[in-house]
Amino acid sequence: MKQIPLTILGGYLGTGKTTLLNNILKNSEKKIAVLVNDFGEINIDESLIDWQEENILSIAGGCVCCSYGNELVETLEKMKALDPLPNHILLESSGVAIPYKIAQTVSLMEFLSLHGNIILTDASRLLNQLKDKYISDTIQNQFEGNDLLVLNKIDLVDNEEIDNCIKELTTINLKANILQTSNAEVSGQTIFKNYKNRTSIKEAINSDEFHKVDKFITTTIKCTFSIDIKKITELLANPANGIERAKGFLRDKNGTDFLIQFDGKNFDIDKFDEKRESAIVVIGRDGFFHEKEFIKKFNNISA
Amino acid sequence: MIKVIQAKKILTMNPRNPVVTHMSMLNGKILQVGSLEKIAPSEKYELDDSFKDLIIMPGLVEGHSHLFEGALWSKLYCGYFDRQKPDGSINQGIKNIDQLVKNLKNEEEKIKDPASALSGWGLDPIYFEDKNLDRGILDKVSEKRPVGILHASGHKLNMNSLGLKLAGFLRTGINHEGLPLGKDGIPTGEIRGAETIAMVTRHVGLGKDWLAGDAEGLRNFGKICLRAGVTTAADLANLQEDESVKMMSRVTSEPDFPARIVSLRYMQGISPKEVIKRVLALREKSTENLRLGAIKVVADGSIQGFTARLNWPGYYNGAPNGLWYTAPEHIQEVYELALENNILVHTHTNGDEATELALDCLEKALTKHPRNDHRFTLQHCQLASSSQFRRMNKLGMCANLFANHHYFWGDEHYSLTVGPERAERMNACRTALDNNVPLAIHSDAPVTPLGPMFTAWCAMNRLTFSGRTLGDYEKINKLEALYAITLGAAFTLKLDGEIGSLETGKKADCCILEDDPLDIDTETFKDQKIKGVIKGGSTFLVKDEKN
Repeated sequence: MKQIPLTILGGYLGTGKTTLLNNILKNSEKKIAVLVNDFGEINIDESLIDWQEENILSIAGGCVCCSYGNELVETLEKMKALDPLPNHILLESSGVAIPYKIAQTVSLMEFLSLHGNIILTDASRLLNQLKDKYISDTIQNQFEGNDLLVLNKIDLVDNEEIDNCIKELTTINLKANILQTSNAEVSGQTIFKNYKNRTSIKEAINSDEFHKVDKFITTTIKCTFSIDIKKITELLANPANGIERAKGFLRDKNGTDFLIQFDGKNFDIDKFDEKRESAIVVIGRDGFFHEKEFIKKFNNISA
Repeated sequence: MIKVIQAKKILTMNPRNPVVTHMSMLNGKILQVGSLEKIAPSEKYELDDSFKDLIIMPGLVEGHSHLFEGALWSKLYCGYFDRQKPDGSINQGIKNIDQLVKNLKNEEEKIKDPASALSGWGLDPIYFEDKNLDRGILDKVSEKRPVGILHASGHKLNMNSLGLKLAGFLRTGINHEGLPLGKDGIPTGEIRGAETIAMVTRHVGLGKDWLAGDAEGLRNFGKICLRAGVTTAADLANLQEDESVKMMSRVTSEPDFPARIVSLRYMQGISPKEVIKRVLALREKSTENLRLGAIKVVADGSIQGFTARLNWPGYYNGAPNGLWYTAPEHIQEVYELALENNILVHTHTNGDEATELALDCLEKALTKHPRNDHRFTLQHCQLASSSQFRRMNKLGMCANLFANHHYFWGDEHYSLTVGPERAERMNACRTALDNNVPLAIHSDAPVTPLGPMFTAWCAMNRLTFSGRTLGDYEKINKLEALYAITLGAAFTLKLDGEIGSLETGKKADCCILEDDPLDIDTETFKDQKIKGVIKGGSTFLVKDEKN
């Protein structure tokens, strides 16, 4: 059986899990499935949503996002039936859940392969939380069995506070690999790494690869003219333009409407009966994709 | 036309007019209660004297139950205690493993489809002498079809070898706290914990669809209410998806459905902001028979499952403290939003630390959004201390205590979970009343059987299953107990203006009894015979019991 790699993203409420997920959803080249307790603060550009069923959102480019509520096991089972299978599952545990217990549950599901248990913590609140009469034991239990501890929001505190946080974290969990960051800027590479296969990642922990965050630019272009479909595919596929993903409703010179989707490699082009405003959303890699230049090129291919 | 009913006695629960003989009704509501001379309408009316030898009191209010009590009965009941089925017949309790195997075998023979599983619920092996129930024993029932039985607590499940095999767990190499291993290194067949149970239920016929709250299950729930004399039942943790709200609305309005349902939206898998939006929309969908628009929050787990959050010194047997089921910040946020929007919130708190948290959150929220008469209610609230009851009073909170718990688990609480002193203070009905905390008592059906008269008996006698009196001081008297299962429970649901007593303008919802509960000894209070109910002026009688 082909196993789907799974990474748990744990940590208390407000530690930056959702920010991290939103980054990953926007910037990942993989087809990932993101599982969240509730959609709450998950922020997906509506124009990128392909379809939505009760608790599952399909996003242009092949990612899905599901809310599991109290049906984690059932939702995980559903991933098995997705076509195409996700390359990776990112499971955000609820703010009070104990991630290592979820890891235990995942270990029983033979179609899943646990790659990592990543826990976020908020440097500006950690020390108070560890003293809080209601949640200190929950916070400590959440750290158990982690592969990577992300000490987030270090921009909100001074160096002394960071040192104190690290001291506390290493007391609780001596073997912890601690990654310091702000705005939950953790690279996809770090998230999707298979921690279970590596004997030591300590040396790598503070190298650049952990922090390098891919940045992307999203642009929506309204389209008032008819389009040559062939030309637009050439434009999007040209590597010089740095386009990672695109989705649009466009009309050709015969007045036929098309839904065009591009995942960075392949196109999906379908006729579309419903009348919709012509527009295209493109996502490009920062540094390669130049918004103004692209819009100019786009406007030049009117049929 | 106006209808007047005559009874041997009508106990109104209205102190101005406590005992009368007649009640006139129009359009499902009460016109007047009193003697016939006093209330006889001047226009033509219909006199119904079919209750002339019976006692009538306000319809009982079950303040905390779950609709799936009705759906459970599609599978075999395997509990220790005798339990009445929706059709009135008694399912005998199972007292030992041999009897369990025998009952399961009998049931197995009735299943025609060779592919279907044999499933049961309500198992409570803590009462068995030999508590070891491994897959070998269930293999004796069948090796050809999967067998699975859910425990009464809902936190454990036992299955046979075939069931384990289908779930992929009949193998060595498993290392998981939810799957204890036998000497052979293979799981014993006992499955622990909700997440692990969720992985196996569909292989033994106990999958999600079983408790999906289908229409038939709800009709069965109605039958159970009727036999218990309940005309309003609170459904305490419903996800209220569109389809199920439509179904509930339809079924509760069927002319032969004997009860009204108050359903609270469970804050699970939804953020505080979203749940507020959702219940504001649902509130508009309320009917006379289905009341929507309130929220249920679950703060912690259960005491016997060691998942409740306890204050120092924690569990008597040294188990680590339990779990938060909802983040404290989310409780705070939903309290504030609910007060702002005038939405009722009921919060499940079993442990005293969870109760403390709920009090702290409400105190803070009230400072931000002052609101009189919010009636936020603590559900179960089993371990609350005297000082916590005093705080509840100061903050305007109600308590709905789990009086039945003593009878079923009191001995375990005494010796294992919380120890003697705290076991005696659990479900402190007397202390609640002493501190003017509005009080209701409940069954949490199907955790314990639905039956407010039994619950009242528990609160008056505080006996455990082994016969120990647990906390003499916390007993309440008969009138107080009757109040808790009528007006008291109605008050916590903000329905005391409509139900809970028999007086002009209220709904004509009654419980019909053979004997006067005020004449019955507190010791035998649970054995009273319920003949039926009146809901909105229509009579529903219990059909003769089949045994």
